[in-house]
Formats: sequence, C-alpha cells, structure tokens
Amino acid sequence: MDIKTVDIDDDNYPEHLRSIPKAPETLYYIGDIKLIEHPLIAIVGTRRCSSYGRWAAEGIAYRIASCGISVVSGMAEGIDSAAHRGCIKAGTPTVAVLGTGIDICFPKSNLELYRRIAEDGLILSEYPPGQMGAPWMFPERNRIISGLSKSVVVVEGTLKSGSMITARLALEQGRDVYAVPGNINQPGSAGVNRLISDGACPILDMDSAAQTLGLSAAKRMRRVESLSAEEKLVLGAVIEDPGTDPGTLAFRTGIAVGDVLALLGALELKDLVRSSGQRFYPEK
Amino acid sequence: MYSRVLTASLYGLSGEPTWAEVDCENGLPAFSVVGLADQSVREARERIRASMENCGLSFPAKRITVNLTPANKKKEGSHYDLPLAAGILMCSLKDADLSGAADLCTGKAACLGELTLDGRVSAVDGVLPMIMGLKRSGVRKFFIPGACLPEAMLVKEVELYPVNSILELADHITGMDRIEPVKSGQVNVPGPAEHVPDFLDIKGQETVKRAAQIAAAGMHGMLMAGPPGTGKTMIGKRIPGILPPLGYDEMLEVTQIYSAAGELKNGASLISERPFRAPHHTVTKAALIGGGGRPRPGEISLANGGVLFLDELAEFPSYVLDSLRQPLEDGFVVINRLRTKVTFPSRFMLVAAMNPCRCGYYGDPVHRCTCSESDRQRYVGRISGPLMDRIDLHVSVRRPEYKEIDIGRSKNGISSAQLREGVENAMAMQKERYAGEGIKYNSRLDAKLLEKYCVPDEKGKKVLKATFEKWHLSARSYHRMLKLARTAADLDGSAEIKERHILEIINYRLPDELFGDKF
Repeated sequence: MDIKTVDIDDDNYPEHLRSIPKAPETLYYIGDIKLIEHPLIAIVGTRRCSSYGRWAAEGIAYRIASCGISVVSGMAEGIDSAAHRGCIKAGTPTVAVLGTGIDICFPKSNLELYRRIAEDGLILSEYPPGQMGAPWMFPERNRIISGLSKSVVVVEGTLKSGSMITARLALEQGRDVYAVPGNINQPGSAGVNRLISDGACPILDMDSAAQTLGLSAAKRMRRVESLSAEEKLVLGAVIEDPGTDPGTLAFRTGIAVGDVLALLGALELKDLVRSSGQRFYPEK
Repeated sequence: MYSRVLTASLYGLSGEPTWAEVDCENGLPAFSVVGLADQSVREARERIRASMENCGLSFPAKRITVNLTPANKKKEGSHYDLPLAAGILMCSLKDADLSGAADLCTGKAACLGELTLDGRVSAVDGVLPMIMGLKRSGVRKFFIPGACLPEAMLVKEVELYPVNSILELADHITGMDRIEPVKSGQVNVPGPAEHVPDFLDIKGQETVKRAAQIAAAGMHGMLMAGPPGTGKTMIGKRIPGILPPLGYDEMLEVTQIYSAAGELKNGASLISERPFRAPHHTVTKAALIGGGGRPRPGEISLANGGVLFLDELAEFPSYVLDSLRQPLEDGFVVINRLRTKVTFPSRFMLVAAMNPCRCGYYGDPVHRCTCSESDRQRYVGRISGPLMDRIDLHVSVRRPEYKEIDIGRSKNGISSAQLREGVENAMAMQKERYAGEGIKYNSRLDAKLLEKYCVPDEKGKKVLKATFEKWHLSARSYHRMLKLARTAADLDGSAEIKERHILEIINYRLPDELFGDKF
C-alpha cells in the first residue's frame, strides 16, 4: 500500500487541523488526502457497545454520508466501526484516524474494513509505519479526530471512556459536541447523558439527525448546484408559485408537459420539491 | 315423411352446426319439439303454424315431431323458426319438385331466422358468429333474414340468400322463384364519426391529458382520483377518440360480440368505432362480466378493443369490482355453467374515476371535507389492493385554478388528433417489438417479457433504484412503473428506456394520504 506523508507546513495540510493545540507535525496517510480539505463530522463511542449504540452510530453515519459528508472515526471495535460502515453504506468515502502505526490494523478483526477504507477513503496516523500501539497513544489521536471535524457526535461511552476525552478535546478546540441519549440503567450511557446535562446537543431522533447536525441546508445547496439548467428553471418556477400544477409550469417555462413532469420527477427524487396530487411545493 | 335442414346454435361466441329434423306421420294432429329446446324454441310451433296459414301455405294436419340434433345440448333462441318451417314445407310438398332445397338438405346451406305471425322473417341476434362458426365447418351458403344482411356481409367468401318472408323461401324450395344470392365480403367501413368529443374541450388538466395519452398508448388501465367537477368524466369519455381506428379483424371480433349480445342497433352492420362502455355503478356482476342461462357477453366483453369506463369506482360493490381481476389479467373471461363453458374476449382498457372520499373534498385546498377518517377509509377500501395493482396508471385530478382555464392560455390546448398521433406511433413500435410474442401492448407484458424488453439504460437504472428506495415500492408497483416507462419511451420514439421516462412516471401516483404508499 502506498503510504504518503504530509507536513504541517505543506499546503495540503488541513487548515482547521493546523490551528488546534499540539497539532501533529507529520501525518502519514493512505488514500485521498483531499477528503479532509473541509471540516467533517466525527462519530465516536465505546468499543464495548450495545446493539442500540451500533444501530445509532451506523444510522447517523449513513444520514451524514447521504448528505455527501464524510464521517471521521478511529476504526476501533464497536461504535467506530459501525460509524465507518454506515458511511460506506451510503456510498461516501470515510476517514479513519489510527492510534497505531499507519500500516498496522488494530484490532485485527477490522482488517476487511481497513482495506476497504484504504481503497476508497482515507487512513491517517501521526505514527510512523511499524509503530505498535500503546495505551497512551489512543487518547492522543483523539485530538486529531476532533481536530478534523466541525462537530463530534458521541454515541455511547462510560464516564471514563476515551470518547469523553474526545468530547473534552473537541470543546477545547471549539468544535460542536452532540450526544445520543442512552438508557439510564446502562453504564455505557452515563457518559453521553452527562454530556447532554453539561450542554451537549442531544440527537433526538434518527430522521432529523442530519437536520440537527445542520446538514440539510448544506445538502440542499449542493443538490441545487448539481441541477441542469432546465431543472433549475422549473425549480425556480415552483419556488415562485408554490402549489403550481405541471400544466402551468409548462406554460410558463415553454417546456412540453411530458418533459416538465420528468423534470419534476427528478426534482422530487432529489428532495427539492414535494408533490401532493399534481400540486408541487418546494421542499424545505 | 322425413326431412332435415341445417341450422346453427350459438354457445357464447361460437356458432355450432345443428340439424333441424322434421318427421310428419299420419295420426292425431300434433306438433312436438324435442332436443333440449327451451321455451323460445318450443313457441316456434305457434309462430310457424300461424305464419304458414296466413300466407296461404297449408300446414299439414299430421303428427309432427321435430328434433334438434345434437340432442344433448340446450337450444335457445328464435332463429330455429325458419329452418323448422323449411323442413315442414319440404314434408308437406313431398310430391313437388324440391330441387331448390337440395343444398339445405345436404348441409351445404344453412338456414336461420325468426317468423312473425303474418309470415315475415325478422332479424335475430348472433347471425354473424353463427355464420362464422358454420363457415369453419365448411358451410358456404346461408339463408338469413333480409334485415341481417349488412351484418352477414362481413364474412368473406360466402353466399347469402336474404329471406324476407316464408313465401319467398317456399318459392325458392319449389323452384318457382329463386332467391338471388348475394356475394359477401363487400363492406363499407363507415368513416370516423364526427360526434366524438375532443380533448380540446377540456381546459387545463395538462397532466391528466398526458397521463391519458400514455395509458392509451400502451392500453394501460387508468385510475383518476379527485374532487367532483374537475373533469374526470369528460376525460374518460374522450379516451376512445385518441385510440387508433380498429383493424378489420378487430372490427369483426367486436361486431360478433355485439351481434351475440343483440346490441347491433338497427341498420348497423359493422362496429367500426372503438367501443366505449360506461355501466352505471348499480350494474350487477352478471351484467358486467357476462352471464345468464345462455351466457351472454357482459360489459367487459362489449368493451373489448375499446374502453370500459367505470365512473365513481368506489360506489361499485366491491365483489363486483373484484370480479374484474381475472378478466383484466387474462384478457378473456370464462363463464362456467353446469353443462356449458363459454369464453368471451375481454381485452379492454379500463378507465376509472373516483372521488377521494364520500363528500368528494378530501385533500381539496378550498372545500372542507366532512367525512370522518373511518368513513374515508371505508370508502377507499372498497377498491381492493389486488385491483389497484392491476390498474397501471394512477393519476390525481385537481381542481383547476383560474389561470389554467383562462381563455388566452387554454386556446392552445392539445387536441385529440395530436394525442392520437403519438398513440399511433407508440402502438406501431409495440407491434413491431412484440411480433411473435403473442401480445400487442405494453400493458400485457408479463414478468418474463418485462425482463426481456423493459431494461432501462444505466442512468435509468439508477433513477429506478432511487425511486424504489424513496417510496418503498412493492415488486408489483415496480413492474407497473417499468411498463409505463416502456410506453413513455415508445411515445418518445426511443428504443431504450431512459432516465427521463422513469422520471416522468414518478408523477403518476396518488397522494400518499389517499391510498397509503401505493404507487
């Protein structure tokens, strides 16, 4: 595998990472460094997670990734792996920050995931190839995870877990911290629930997760930009007169009814308009 | 004294050869009919006696026995009058020269018609299918009521002897005055009727017009749902006008059905227009599907080749609607009786209209719906899921706003002729593609043929996948979408199903709140 490095003084070293305290001097990486050009969203949590935690991490990651944003995590067992998988499922490349040397897959059980991310994603580490992991190294790399992100979502964790360290570091770096509420009779929930009581924003349900994380607006912008000229024309006409019918749109835009219907179908599929019995409204 | 004359019996749409045997013996004068004849046949006794007497022909004062063979099949109808009268004439004229009756006795000619008491021969139902059935068994000459001549002319390569009274037949038999045969096969196809309503009359509703064009182009079923007064019925009535004219074979098939049902109106010989049948929602199951002691075609068969329009779909009893499922699927309907089994064709295009609820205003932005949720569910629930699945295209019809019906804009509306042009082109593509597959239209594609003919291109596949996931489509809805997309592509003149075609089809669905997430 092709291991490359990027130094703190290099142009492609991400700006938002450079500004954190104790920013790593050198980053080893495998994959596409461009993925960390812009701030991402991190999902972290305990290694010994519950099935609920795994479901939440995968689901939230899937929704974030569906907006076209990569998810960062630590490729540990449990929550981290679920987050990477959710992101891959949505077809978006994911970013893993390792607590070992760049060429070492830890835990071994994640070898398949490691290869997958190396192929279509990005693996990062501040440790040179061959460096074995040590207990102190994992909390250390957490500052990179939060440093690469604009928001950190903590899914599950006890009061003394590494995810709590990540959350603290994120706050120190000025990142937003979100937490998934947990069942109060499980030790794995204590950390996240404490974060919420300390002021972290809770993710209240799966469907609005992306919205809570402030992604829908960004997502909408990106989708509008990718539209064809005719699609933009029809969308504009719908926004101007919500509740219009295809016949009127055809009349106003000068496009044939059949084609207007196809364009509306495309817009609806991209969640930009909503139809209700031949009336079309812009989707918020 | 014995004689026999060939005639026909009608079972469903198939005319089968039947011999009318007459035996006259000395004895007490009597007239008995055997051979599973029903009331209408047995009454022939009185009609024959009176008509012969009134025409100056002597009715033999003998013991007459009539047998209709094969004797184990039920006979019904009044068309046995004429062959029986012919048989009796032959018996009573034994000594005269009967050269004119040679063909009738040997089975080269057949005879059918009803007698009036004054001796005239009147028209009967089912002449066309009976002649076609006998022609298949080798008969080429037919003695038929003069009034049925236009209808019989449709059959090619037969000789027709129009009979107007029993005297004419008697003269023909004795050779005194032969009836001149008419060569069949000269058919004047009437030009297109001028009274057909045009899509130009409908203001606004462009989406529904487009939907109607797609439905017509693939002969897909179409369901329109929307509040009252939005033009659903107007649209339904205009759909036959955008279908291409019937071909000769189709005309013959349709005319046969109408003939058997006794629906050929006076003077009409050929049904050349696409049928449009709109039974009221109080229709019985037998009237819709076909039935009766002697099974007669129902509305679905009378709509064969054309449009069956069910207005106020949710007002039909659900068991009547559900009986449509099999004929919709198969294109024919089988009516089983203990002794007979009859098949009628039922390849029609189903067009249905319904209100979204009992008061009609559910989902209307202006009027308030006064129905309770359970009322509404019950109303919509009359249409079963399996039936909905068999109607390919669902479209909601909405109340037009002023800007849509504004004269300045609507004068440029699309006309039936323009729509029909697209439909004809799309049908031509289908005909070419399905040559040898045994189907004509996209709506009749089954799962296997779908895989062969409805594979979208790469981009189309992507859109289809996204649609499937966004609306959680069922496998059946997915198939329906593919069929409709195939038709949209045909209308576009495109051999491949492209992204654009699938995107358009997305719009042909009812609002989620009306039928759940049914597409």
